[in-house]
Amino acid sequence: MAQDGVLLRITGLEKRVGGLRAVHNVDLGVHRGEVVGLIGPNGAGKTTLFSLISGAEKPSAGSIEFEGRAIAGLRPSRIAQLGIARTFQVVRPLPRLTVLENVMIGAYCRVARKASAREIALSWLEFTDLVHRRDSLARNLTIADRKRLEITRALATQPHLLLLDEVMAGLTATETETAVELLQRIRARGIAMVIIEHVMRVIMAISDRLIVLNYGERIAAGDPQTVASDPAVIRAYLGGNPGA
Amino acid sequence: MPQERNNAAEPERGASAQALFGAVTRMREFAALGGLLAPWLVLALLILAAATLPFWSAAQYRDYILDLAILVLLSALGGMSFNLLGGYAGQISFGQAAFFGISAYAFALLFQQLALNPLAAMFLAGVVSAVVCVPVGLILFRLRGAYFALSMLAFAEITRLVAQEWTSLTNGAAGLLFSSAFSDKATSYWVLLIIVIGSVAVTSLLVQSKPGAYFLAIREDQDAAEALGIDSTRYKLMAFTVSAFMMGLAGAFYASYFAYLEPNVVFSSVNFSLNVIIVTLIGGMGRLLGPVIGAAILVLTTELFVHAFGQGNVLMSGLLLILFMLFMPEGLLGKLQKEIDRRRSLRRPV
Amino acid sequence: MLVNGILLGGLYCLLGIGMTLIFGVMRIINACHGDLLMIAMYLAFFLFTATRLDPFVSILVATPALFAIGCGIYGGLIRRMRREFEESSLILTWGIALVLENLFTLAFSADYRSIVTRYSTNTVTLAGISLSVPMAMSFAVAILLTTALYWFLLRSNLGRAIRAIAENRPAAQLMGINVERVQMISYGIGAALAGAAGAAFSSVFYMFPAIGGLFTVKAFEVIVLGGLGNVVGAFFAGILLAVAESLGAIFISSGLKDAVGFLIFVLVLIFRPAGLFGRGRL
Repeated sequence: MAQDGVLLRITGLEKRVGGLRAVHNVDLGVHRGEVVGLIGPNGAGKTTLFSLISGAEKPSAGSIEFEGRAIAGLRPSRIAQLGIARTFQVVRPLPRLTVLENVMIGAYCRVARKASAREIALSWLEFTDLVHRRDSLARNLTIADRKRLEITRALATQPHLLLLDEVMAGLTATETETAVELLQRIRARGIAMVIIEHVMRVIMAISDRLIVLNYGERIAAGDPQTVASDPAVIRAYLGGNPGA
Repeated sequence: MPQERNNAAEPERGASAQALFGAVTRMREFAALGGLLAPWLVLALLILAAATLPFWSAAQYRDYILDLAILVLLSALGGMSFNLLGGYAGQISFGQAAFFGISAYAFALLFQQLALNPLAAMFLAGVVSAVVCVPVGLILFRLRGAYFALSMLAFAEITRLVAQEWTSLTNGAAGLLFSSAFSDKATSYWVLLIIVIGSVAVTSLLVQSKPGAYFLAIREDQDAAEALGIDSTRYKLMAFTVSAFMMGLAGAFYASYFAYLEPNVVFSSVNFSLNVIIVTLIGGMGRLLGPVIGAAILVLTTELFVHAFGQGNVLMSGLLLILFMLFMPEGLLGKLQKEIDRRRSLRRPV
Repeated sequence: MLVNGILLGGLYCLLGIGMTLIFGVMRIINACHGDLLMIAMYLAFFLFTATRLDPFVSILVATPALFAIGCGIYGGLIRRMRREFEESSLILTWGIALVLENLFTLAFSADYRSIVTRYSTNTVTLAGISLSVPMAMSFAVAILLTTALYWFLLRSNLGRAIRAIAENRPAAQLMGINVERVQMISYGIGAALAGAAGAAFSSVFYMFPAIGGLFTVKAFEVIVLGGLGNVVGAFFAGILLAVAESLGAIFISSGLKDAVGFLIFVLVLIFRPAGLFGRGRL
């Protein structure tokens, strides 16, 4: 289904809210197993882009194709079933359920039996090194563990594409290192990722390509080194426009 | 005291002390095993006691006891219906009375007009509610939280008014009178008991499986659930139909037992919509047996209250509602769970 | 008949404004609102039977009395609630409504009572339409109170504090506003408005304890129609609802008059959840 290894193809995507263009004429492509970093100042439309891909919001115009199939405007649950998983900028654990139950709910996306879901959940919890907390209530977790839970839960849905929204926010230096290491392991599994991040060294270290958004538009794309030194990008972050 | 603290910490302990300690540990293990079996045993005993109630209750009080028991079971059934949709799937509905009334009248029509066998009529009456709830759910599930709760109330009130005006179907406010479905009280009681036990079993199977887990996910965070591949409308509808069916069964039974229907009674928001909320609240929302326990407590305390003061059973319900809402919103079973967790965490090293 | 229906809108307005105020400030859906009105009606009734105090004068008693009762209910009960789930306040206030209704039934029986004054059946003719005098007076009171409240919210310091909390509670706290106290006062004001409505309209209706529940439902309909938290919207919605009901009674059937309100309620929630006038600032 995915010709030439393109997993996700976004063309001319547009989202208008009121009179504002939250996302304007965005093109984006993600290949199998690739890690794409999505950066840009606050309010640039990055999370909106994720919401459009994951189905939480409907685009005003443009198309989104996943594995050769048009997905723009589908229900979020359908898109998740098709193989795109996402995490949220402000984590959303299912608070009164245990860690294991949380991940099992992700696993149920692919299986129907409780025992199978449990198995899948446990194996992913081992993968993300969270298995020792499996019986804790999600609401009792530290922020770092909550983020990890969110990722584990998303992984349990066996996605081909994982959308990570600022998973490093609020983590200490050590926690960040552990998280980056986890991302490398996910990448080694062949799961493609699009990562929104503000912590520069992380995104430089892990991305194959970078895409930069500002005011809803794509202003640069390419390999990390080139993009980072692009004057337009630097201007966007530091530049003359106060508060995006 | 953590169990780990034994021989390693105090090597000088004498042999007898060690033997004693070993015995205690073995007893603990046995008790733990018993703990696994105990709930089942207790449950089996309770069911046995309930099933044989007509036999071992004193003859002079039998009718009264059976009346109470039927009331408890009816409230429990309604509570389970509310609990499935509200406690597990998180969609609190203030309009369960709608299905109670709809199925009550459906039963009357099926049983009296079409002379169907009462059990079949009850089942079909339940199905009627389950069918009706589908379009209602499709329309109303876009509303969340309190707005859904209130629109369900509006729906129940609308059905009440329709029943009142549609006199050709329901005889309106004049009421519908027919004959009791079952020959004696004990038979009615057994029918209801079987229905309730069946409902508990079905609910238990449902909540332990994938749909049950999905209900909880929707309850905790519907948007996060959607992002995990859960079609919330589909699963909410699933909970709704089972819930409506159970409440419908309750209404149908009511019709079969009391044999007199009147819109203001069977569609009563206070008597039925609120009643099922209270019993679930008392017992514990989202707990399998919460409504059963809550029903027992509500009915019994109300009886005592009415005996003591002559009237005011609704007042009692209201007071219980306020008390539990303020001081024990997790219900009795919830409180029990908290206590168990607390003690467990005290024993285990963190 | 239609016009008298409109005058009834005054009652709906007062109820709706009070309830929408409470919702706007505290996000509480006050299911015992109608019962507060009921209490005021009985208060007016007893004052009338005991001292022949004109019900419109007893507004001056009922309003502060209900303010106090409202503050008491909020401070004693509602504030203690730990919000387990969103619908908690609705369930709690429903319980309070039940208790109030049944206490009054036990104390004063479910019998219908009424206040009959010298002018109860008088009518006055305005522009060729015959208006019932008590209704017209009640309506006038409603307009008066609504204007007073609006002025209060707009101009006074307390009114500004109330609007601040409704708009952004954390910010209001940071600005040094005593949120708990202002919330209690807001609830009291909502109750006071219901009290005023109860006393004002006590000469118009038969009263019985269960009337509280009926009016609570009307109040729900008004606030949803007018936009939750929107005081001005509630005013117009109150009138609109009364008009719709009158039309329903005339054209469909008086039995289904109430169903009109329910239908509007559900339809608005489904198709225009922000209400006709938008979920506004107060």
